[in-house]
Amino acid sequence: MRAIIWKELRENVLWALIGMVVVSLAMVYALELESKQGQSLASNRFLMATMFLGPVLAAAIGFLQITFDARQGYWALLVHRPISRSRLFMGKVLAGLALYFAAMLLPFTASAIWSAMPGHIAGPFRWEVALPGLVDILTGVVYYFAGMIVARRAARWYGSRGLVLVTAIGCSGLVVGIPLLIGALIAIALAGALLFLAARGAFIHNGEYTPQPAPAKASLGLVQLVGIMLVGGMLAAFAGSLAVTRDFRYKNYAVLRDGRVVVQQQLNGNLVSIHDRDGTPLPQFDKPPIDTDELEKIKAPFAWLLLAPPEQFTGQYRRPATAMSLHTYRDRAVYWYFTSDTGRVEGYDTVSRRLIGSFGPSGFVTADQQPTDRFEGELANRWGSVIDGLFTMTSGVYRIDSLHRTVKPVFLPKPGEDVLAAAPFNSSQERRSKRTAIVSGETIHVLDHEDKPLMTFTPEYDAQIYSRLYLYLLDEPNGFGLWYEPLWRRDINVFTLPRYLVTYGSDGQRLAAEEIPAFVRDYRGPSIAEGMLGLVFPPGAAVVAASISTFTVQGRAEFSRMYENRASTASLVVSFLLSAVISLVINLRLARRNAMARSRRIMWATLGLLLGPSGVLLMLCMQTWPARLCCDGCGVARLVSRLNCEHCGAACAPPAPNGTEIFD
Amino acid sequence: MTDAVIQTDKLTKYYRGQPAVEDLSMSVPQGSVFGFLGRNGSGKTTTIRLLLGLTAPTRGGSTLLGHDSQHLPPQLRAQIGYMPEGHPAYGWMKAREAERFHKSFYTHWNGDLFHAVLEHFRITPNTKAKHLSRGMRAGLCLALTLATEPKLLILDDPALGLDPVARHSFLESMVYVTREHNCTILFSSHLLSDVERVADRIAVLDHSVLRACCSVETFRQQVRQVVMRFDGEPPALPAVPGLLTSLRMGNELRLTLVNANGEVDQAMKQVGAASVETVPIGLEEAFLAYLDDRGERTSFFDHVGAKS
Amino acid sequence: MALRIKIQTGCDTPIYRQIVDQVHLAAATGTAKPGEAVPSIRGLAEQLVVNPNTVAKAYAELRNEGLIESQQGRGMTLCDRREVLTDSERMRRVRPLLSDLAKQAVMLGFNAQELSRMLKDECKALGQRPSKGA
Repeated sequence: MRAIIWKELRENVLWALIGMVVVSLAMVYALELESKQGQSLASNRFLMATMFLGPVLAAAIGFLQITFDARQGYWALLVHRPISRSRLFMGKVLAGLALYFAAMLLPFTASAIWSAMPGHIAGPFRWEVALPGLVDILTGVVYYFAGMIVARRAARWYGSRGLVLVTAIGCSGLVVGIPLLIGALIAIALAGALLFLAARGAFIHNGEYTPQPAPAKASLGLVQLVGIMLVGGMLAAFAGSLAVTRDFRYKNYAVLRDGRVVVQQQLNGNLVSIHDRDGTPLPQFDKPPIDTDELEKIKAPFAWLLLAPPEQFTGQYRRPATAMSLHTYRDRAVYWYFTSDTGRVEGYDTVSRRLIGSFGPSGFVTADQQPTDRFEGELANRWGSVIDGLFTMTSGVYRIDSLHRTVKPVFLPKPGEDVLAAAPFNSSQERRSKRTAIVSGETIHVLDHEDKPLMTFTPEYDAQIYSRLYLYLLDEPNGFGLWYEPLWRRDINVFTLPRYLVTYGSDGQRLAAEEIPAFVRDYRGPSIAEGMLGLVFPPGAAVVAASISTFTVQGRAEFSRMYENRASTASLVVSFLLSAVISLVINLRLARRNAMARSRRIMWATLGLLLGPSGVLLMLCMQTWPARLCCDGCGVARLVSRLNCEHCGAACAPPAPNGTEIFD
Repeated sequence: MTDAVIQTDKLTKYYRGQPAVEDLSMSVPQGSVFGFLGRNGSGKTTTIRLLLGLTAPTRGGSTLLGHDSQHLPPQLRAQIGYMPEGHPAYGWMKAREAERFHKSFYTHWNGDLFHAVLEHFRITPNTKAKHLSRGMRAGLCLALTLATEPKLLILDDPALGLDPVARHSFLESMVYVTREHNCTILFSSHLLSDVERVADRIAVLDHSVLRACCSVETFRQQVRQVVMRFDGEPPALPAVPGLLTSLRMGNELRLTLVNANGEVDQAMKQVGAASVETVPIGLEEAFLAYLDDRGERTSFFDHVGAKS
Repeated sequence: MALRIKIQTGCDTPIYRQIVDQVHLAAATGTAKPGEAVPSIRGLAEQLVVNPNTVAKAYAELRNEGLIESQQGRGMTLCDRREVLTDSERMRRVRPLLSDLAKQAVMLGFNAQELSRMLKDECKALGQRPSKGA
């Protein structure tokens, strides 16, 4: 096996080197641009190198390793060596992966070391930022095996060779989409194992399907199925999007200064009408175009308070920048970051790219001084922690003036209470808008323009569901309006929930509460696009797909909310069933044509029923379809792959002698 | 000649609905030098690939040294020397490196033999394979194959593209390997003189069908050429079983027949020839007649001439 | 002088027959003397680059005809020439050659006397005494 590894290393080192040069250039380019922004290994530009170049290089090495040896004479030269094919395959894989990892990890490590050295990145560096890149590089293993399969598998339909690459791309999608590191690793391990088995089966059996053992066939089948479904899903979604109206309609509520709730309607991103909830257009906006400046004048200023459950945002290894709570104040030449390690807001000079000093609750110290205190607790929420110098920790709200290097506490919660959110009002013209809204524990505090407590409210609806709050400043009555908006959740369909508006007087007295219905009452009915999807994913697969990823399904529901026209559920069910039954029949006929054993006929028929057209395509691109000849015994077409006719049992007729045979 | 080293049973391979090998049943006795003949695309290489388990048969099967071709254990492969068509060699390997690479897989390796063959083909061990001439590369392949001292040697068109000197060296080495042990050789070739020299048994594939499998002597005896002279224009020939080719030249009709027996002689007498004479035929001519398309033949240049 | 055998491929005569004929000729013309060693089967096969079985077949025929014999420890040697062919067989073999010769000679305009004189000279050149075998 050592000889094989040596041969493979020697033969493919050139490709790996070329890959390494390209990857290095991409990384240098990305770091060059991103380091100025204080970003390094986790920046989007840098991840492009690992996310795209890694898979391309891995697939190329896998493909080239096989394709050169798959030429007839060379294949014989290789596999006729007295060594088992699986050891041969392992030798190839070890060498290929070693080259791939070397080509990726050398420039990656160099980038990491460079980034870690002070003076290169205008921001703090933590080793966690290397994680997404490393996971991307690991994803390359999946592409490596996919490349091998593309090169080795003999398929009568060339598209079916490429399907494995689609599956690998699907795996990449999962890796990028799954926020948790362990989830991404599991996705890579699963896809990698399947593709490894399929590639090994193809290699050991000269790329032929029929002689492969069941595990190799099953892995190949699963890999192909995922590919077919991804392609089918994309095609169906595309077809569905052609079927629905192209106009993008969107409705949302707005609260006016006088406390009225009106509906804004958008068409393709343009505001087309403003009307009250009965449908009567507001007089000043009764015909387009709508003067948005005028509209802004009558809209109530508000503070946006997000009471996000923290667990939803933790553990996202792909965003270590946010995990590290990277928050930027633009102070011309200084970038400011909150670093949870030190509990301080640190400033980095964009020219020298070095630490100049940091803020604590008691003030600013320069880099050469030892800081004495830290902001306790965590950032209140990642998106709203810093607004207009308002810096919100769970332990308190501070006003940081980075220009003058001052810190002032704005609000400190009662002991045992956490600050959840803090926000200024979005209109700064008026004096009373220079107020601040803070959610601490279960109370909403409003501070005046001098940060003195003005009044408090207690939210009335479940904060676990209604965790998006808008506190409006109203003129009539002179007071506040608290709008409750649900935040998306995995377990509840929030799109059908009503919104609430509760109004308060200037003295904090509760005046009225109003329930405002959601626009779309039922998102569960399928759209035409989803119906088309159903043609590719009939029942079984649809259930599996839905349970695998609620996220996707919910995302689609939100997407389809935009489309008004929907097919009737009944016609969709019929199309589901029809396609399932037709697929079952086709698969049965195909199985009979190939004279399959009873168990395999049942298997393929079931797959047809569950997977619909995907099942038919799967069968078509997996199985080999031997030629058929007319049987001498019964006159029916029979398979050439059988010694005896599947209909009448007659042995295959030998080629007719022509009188010139010479045998002794 | 005891048991069969290679045995095939209704071996069939289809490629995209077309048979490449059809119902091939033959056996290669131990110790024989077996010539495998046929025109391009008649299925020789496919058969060899099936025998070595490099591709799976559509139906039927074959055994090599008593083992199923599709599951040859590595120890058995070590006893089978195989030189694929076209003399493949890793271009970047020096001859010495190629030896080290191949040697590592085998427990038995005759280094002296390897270097003797290299020397014979005038290959210096430090030359990369891609810088070798075709003949030298073939020599390298041969050296790598012979150094394992296989029990069974399978050569797929070893003479392809070689000059007469290299070809001669090949034949010499084939004769050489039968020296020590009871080695069986199966080789495919288009070069009939080579076959005549070294083969003692032959198999002929014609359009994927095995038409002959016999000793060279039997083959020579079964193919006959008959010259019939007529007084006038030779008449149209009745269907004669075993007729390979017929050639018209003036008043003469020259027939090449296979498996001719009394019945055929009878048929020929009825045609009414003035004289019937059996002329001796060489093996090469016999092969040509055998491998050519059946039926009446004129030079194909005649058709070219007729057009213009 | 040792036995020198050359073969040709692609001609009408099988290789083993060529070997047999050449040994015959050498013995008949005296190029090889009785008791002289004949190359081993293996040696001749490698020298001629032909299948050893072919050589073995030729030697078997020669042994049957009594032209060579194996001797303990010395391999195979040429024997004293003993006639093993019947007169009629010898006749049968020489007749077609004579007829060809005659045809060619007549075609080239030789008469019978000239032909017989030339035949005598040829035989003399082969070292054959005209008296023997007449």
